[in-house]
Amino acid sequence: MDIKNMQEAELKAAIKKVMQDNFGLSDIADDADFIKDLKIDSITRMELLLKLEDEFGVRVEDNDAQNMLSVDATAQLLKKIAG
Amino acid sequence: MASKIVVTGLGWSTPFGCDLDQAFDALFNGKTATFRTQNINLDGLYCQVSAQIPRNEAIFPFEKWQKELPGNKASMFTIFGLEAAERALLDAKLIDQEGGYVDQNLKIGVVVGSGIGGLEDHFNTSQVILEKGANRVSAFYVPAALINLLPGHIAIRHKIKGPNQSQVAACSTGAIAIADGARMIVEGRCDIMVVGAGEASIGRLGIAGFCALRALASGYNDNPQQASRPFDKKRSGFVMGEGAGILILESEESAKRRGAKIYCEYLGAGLSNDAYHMTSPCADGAGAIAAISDALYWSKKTPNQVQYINAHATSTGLGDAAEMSAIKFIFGDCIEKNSFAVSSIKGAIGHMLGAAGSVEAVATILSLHKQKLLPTINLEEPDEFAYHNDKLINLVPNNGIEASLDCVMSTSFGFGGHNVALVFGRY
Repeated sequence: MDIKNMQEAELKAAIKKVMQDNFGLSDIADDADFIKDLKIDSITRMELLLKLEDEFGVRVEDNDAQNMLSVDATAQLLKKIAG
Repeated sequence: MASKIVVTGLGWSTPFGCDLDQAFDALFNGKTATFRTQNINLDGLYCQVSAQIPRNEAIFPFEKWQKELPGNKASMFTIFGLEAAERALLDAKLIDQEGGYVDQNLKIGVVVGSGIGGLEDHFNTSQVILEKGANRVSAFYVPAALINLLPGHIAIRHKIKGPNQSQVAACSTGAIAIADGARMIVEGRCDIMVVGAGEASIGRLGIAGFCALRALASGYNDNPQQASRPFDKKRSGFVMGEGAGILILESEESAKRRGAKIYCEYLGAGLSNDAYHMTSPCADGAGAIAAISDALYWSKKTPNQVQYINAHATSTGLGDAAEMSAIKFIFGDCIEKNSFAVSSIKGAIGHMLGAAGSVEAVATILSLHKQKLLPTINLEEPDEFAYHNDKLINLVPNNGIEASLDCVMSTSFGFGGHNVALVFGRY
């Protein structure tokens, strides 16, 4: 998927679809905290990063990945990386 | 120290489903689960036959486990084992619902192994590295493939905080896990043990590996239902199966205290090693003789007190012959007196490798409990070695029969020369 041409809402929906398809996570609020609210463990967050990278054809640095703690934050980060 | 150990719960995942009675009835009625392998590319391999658990919700709750452990978090051998363990815990009334926790005051542990573990995870992950690069490996790969994550997941799901470990002993894994679990109760460390094994190695790598050893059945791709034929002259190797078998072993005191249903008494195990060859058994069955004799010793039984052996009988030439010569050496007099039977369920559900010993232990215990012997299917012309002084051993050919059983044995032998015999008695 080409992030550059995606609207923000479209990108967030695509992120949620990755979370639903791979980890069975549904009804995720845009600002829900992956750790505190969704209780996603660290291995699953690493796996989510891998799936998102594959889905959107990007590579996220480990330092940046630590900030992927909500759908909002993830969408912003992906937009930034895609330029 | 426990005076007696009893069996208070059973569970299995088989190609005939996970319900104890339903799968037992399928075995009793001589049904077979060996078919052409589905959904796996086996191009170029001589054996296309296996006994898969059909990917069908009516047979196994795949969706339930995909929800519980989504996204390849757990390997299939673990999922088969988790379902069998959950069913055994429910059967023993140690949990009252799926995903339930055991009473935290109980002294309970887990010894559950696998022969090979996440073999297909290794294969699939290697493919990812070759095709996409080493940094594309799943974070779930290592924990999914590890054999000890099967007992680990059982502990997590049911909050079982006692001793927890895995056994690895090829095709005798499940049986060794049972023997080792029992020792935890004998020592007094635990009152209750969840024991057994799971296996899921039917894949391109697993089938290719055993094809390379020429261990799998040849010549039956067009009539796969006849491919697994223990003791039969036309057998040509084993058929790979998959699944899991789990038992709940418990001290008699604990079982009585809980008012638990008791299937039978676990009398003891015999253990030995061939110390001979990586894959071949000693032709004279010396290792098997040692394990069976050891089992009788620890069980305080004489050969004439054993009415039935659920044989390892993989349907390979060397293995079947070695086992039969051991059985004839020890039980010769019983064979002549007609009071003795030997059968193998591998004709029906193939060889589940590491899980075979525990699935067959479940079948043996159900035989004892129901007083019904399971048949050896695809038996048309028994090999010469099935005769003792011109008398054919009762191999329970093709149809199950009613029987009067007090004491039964299940044997398991694995690559590496690992030999195990388990003995169960009527309670």
